[in-house]
Amino acid sequence: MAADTTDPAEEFGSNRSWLYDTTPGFYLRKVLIWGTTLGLSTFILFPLYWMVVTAFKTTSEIQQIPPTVVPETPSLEGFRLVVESSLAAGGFDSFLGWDISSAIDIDVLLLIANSLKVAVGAGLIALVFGTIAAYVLSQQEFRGKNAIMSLLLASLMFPGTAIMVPEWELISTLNLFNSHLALILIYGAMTAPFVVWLMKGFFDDFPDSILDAARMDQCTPYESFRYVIAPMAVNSLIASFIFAFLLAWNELVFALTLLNQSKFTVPPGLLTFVQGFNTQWNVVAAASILVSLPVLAGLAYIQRYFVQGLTGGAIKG
Amino acid sequence: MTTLELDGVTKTFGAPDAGGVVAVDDVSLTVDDGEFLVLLGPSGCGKTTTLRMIGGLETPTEGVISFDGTEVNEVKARNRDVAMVFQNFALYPHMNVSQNLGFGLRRENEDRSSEEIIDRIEAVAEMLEIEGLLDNTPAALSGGQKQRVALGRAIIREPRLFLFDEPLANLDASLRKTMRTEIDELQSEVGITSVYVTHNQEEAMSIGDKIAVMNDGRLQQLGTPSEVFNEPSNQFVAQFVGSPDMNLYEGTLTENGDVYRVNVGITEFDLPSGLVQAGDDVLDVVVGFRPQDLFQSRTRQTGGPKIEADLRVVEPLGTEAILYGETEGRAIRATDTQFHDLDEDQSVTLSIAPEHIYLFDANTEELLKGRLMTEREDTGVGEVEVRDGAGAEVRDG
Amino acid sequence: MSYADQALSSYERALGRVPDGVRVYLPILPVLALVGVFILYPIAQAIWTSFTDKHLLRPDEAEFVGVENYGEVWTNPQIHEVLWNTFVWVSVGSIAAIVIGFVLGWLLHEKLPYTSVASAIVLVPWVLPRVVGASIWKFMFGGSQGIINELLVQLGVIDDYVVMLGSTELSLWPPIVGMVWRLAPLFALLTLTSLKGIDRQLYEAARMDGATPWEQFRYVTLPMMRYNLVIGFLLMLIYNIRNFSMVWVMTRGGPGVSSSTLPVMIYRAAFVDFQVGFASALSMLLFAVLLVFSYYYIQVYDKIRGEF
Repeated sequence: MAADTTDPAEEFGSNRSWLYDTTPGFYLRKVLIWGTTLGLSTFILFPLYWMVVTAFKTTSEIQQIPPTVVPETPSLEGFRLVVESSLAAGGFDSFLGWDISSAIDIDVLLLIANSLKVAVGAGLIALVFGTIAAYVLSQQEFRGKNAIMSLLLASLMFPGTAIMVPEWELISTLNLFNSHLALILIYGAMTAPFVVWLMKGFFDDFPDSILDAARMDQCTPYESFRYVIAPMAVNSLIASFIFAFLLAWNELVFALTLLNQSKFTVPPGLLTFVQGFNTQWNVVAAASILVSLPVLAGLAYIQRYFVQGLTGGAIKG
Repeated sequence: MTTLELDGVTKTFGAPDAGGVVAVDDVSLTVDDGEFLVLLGPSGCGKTTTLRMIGGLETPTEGVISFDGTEVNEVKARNRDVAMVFQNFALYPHMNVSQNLGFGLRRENEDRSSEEIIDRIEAVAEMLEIEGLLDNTPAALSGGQKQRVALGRAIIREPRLFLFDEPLANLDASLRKTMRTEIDELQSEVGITSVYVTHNQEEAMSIGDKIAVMNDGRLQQLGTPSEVFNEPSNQFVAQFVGSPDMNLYEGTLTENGDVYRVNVGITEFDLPSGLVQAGDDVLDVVVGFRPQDLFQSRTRQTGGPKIEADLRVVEPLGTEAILYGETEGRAIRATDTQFHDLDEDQSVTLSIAPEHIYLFDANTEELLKGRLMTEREDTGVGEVEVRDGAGAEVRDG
Repeated sequence: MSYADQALSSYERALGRVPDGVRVYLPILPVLALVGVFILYPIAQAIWTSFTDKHLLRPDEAEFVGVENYGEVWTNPQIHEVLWNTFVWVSVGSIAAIVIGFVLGWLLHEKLPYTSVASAIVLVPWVLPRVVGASIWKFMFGGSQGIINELLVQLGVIDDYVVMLGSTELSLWPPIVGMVWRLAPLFALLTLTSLKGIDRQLYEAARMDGATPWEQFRYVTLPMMRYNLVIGFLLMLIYNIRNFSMVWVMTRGGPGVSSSTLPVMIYRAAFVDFQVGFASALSMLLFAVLLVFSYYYIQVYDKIRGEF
């Protein structure tokens, strides 16, 4: 055996590598890692920073060339214009004795109200129907179950651009064009599979012995649900709702093709404003921040479920 | 106060003709009022399914389960007034200890006043010494504390029947012993008929009034711990109960006047015919020696057959040791307290009293001769309990 | 007390009258109906429409034209440019998002503190409304006040501001950068989650076996997360090829079709040129590609999760 003649120290030496076991290698690794970290963080975070500082610049400052990296005169002008234009669009000439005259044509508050209506409606539909289906798909064995699960998984992939034209045809046929109900139903259909996957994961992991214990504690099926399953499911239910809500809140394609400007939700409304002439970027940034706040609040809550929800539970967090 | 009766109970999962599994096969037994029955068997033997059928969590495919003579097959779990303690405790994670304890009481009768419920919770908490934990959630409890809460949840309702599904399996070894005693005491105190499932024979011996040994869905033997140990109905029971495992050797039995002559290759001996209930046709037998009954000749004269063995391993367990040896190419296990001067690879002479020898029919595996207690010993069971300790832990691992 | 009376509740008896084989499907029906009506049915209808000359403003006068629309897909040079753009977009965008996302996820797991807070911050580009993210990039790439132009001038790459979004040669690239910015965080989170799922003891065992950090990565990390990486890869492809908002907000697919990808072209064909039949034929193309991706997604899914 060769092992008899191998000196352990020598063998150890042969496994040394320049990158890992020498001082220059150590510093090179440090430089590489921190350089990469810095570069990537800048790429990811700078646009967000830019949105925030732009929102706090004055209208004259955003027109400066070259642009200023730090606002010279931080101002709430952008936010003021957003609110003023909404109030003006709402028919207010003055508000609490404050004269309103707005040259900006964007009614952000109305957009937000429309989006809320659509997103909450879609979220509730998806939550209720999705949870019921998930419970059965998790607890029962029956023919076609795998096919149904595959179908739902696949249906997560298609919505949006691939079906925008036929969806428009369908909604026209149903006489639902330019109605929020159409969006509620479509978003509900898009997000219900998400909810099914997420809640099925919850029910799959639900310990059977807890249900047995409830039966032993003399619970009827309804009482088991009311006092045991529902309280334990509440976190997953909230996460499911937020998922559905966020998707509806952010969706552009269907909102753009199925609504007229009068009923626009946030994404198409913002789009119209951004693509208008003389875009006032501080107002866009301010409006962007306002419409992003619900999203950021939601993110904090669903972070734990994020990967699981997105991959239909293929990857568990 | 309930007498529990199972009559020909069978449970099949899936269609029997299409690969269905018979989990419980024609089990009949009676548990008298206030009695503590242990269902003992290896995993997959159907003991838990039996328990779940008693609790109403499963419905028997065939047979009748009755409480005090009333059939309950179709009665839902919630209407049977039984309480169950689960292996993983199954405490409601979203309720604190006090709510966990009170939940069943409230479900049982919605009109029950809060004061009454609180009184009961406090009484049970005191009995189980968990008064300080009432406001904690299960996540904040240790294993032993969870176990006590789970027990409390069962006791508080004063049900007709207690069911325990391996309640100690998730606890560490020392806690298991303490809790075992506590469950035993608690049950005698409240006097409620109980059925307890375990795969741990040591636990079964120490806690049960009666033991029902199961294997492959079938009831092998129903008896007191002492009966199961000394008069196992067949080879399976003999091997499953007791630790270390019984030594078993195939051999032949021939009638020789007043005595039976038994030849097992490693040794040969005579047994008075009065001890054996063999028919004339039995020739092939299996002979069993419990390791506890084998002694080194130098420490005790048993007056029985002698076996020369080469020692291979001495495994000290404190006051005694398990001696692993080899004789004529066959393995042999014995326990003895005299082991400090033994060397591995030395040879020893072992012997066993004739009364302690077990004899089984090699074809049917049924018992021909059990272990008779002799005057020198107290109860066989007591002795088993002491010697069993460490061996049982090995089996659990 | 009579046990038999309590055996079944009235609700259970009512449900008992529905045949066994059907009962179990009832609770799934609403979801299947929603998905069927609003996702599957339109797809089926689009197959028919793609063989007609349906016009957005005169939908009732549609006539069957056979494979004419598909013939145009085959011959129209604009479509060829769009398909090439789509290919570049999907391949470059996906690879860049995967590389950046993987490194980011690895850094989050191995090197950076406060992983949970940091990963939440990293995720912001992905959860931000798409129009918002795209608007930021449109502003940053702006030809007159864009910070990126300024940066490139400062670095000496260009002498003067360039109108990138309005240039036929350059307009495809800014939206890709924006898309990578949006997707890389998602891949980073997938990577992070996969890395977290690997048992630390495997690394300890590998170290005992004398593996260098690189070898640990090569022989432990990568094999352990290979299916998750494939899932992530497919998601990147799907999100990239489906994307509409990043292009539409930044360039509207122009100038000409220089920055148009397939979804943008579908939108333009249907809602700018009103050629619904032709747009449906293009949709079928996109649909076919998504079908292939989804098929593989489900295959890999089955491998990871076994039975559903």
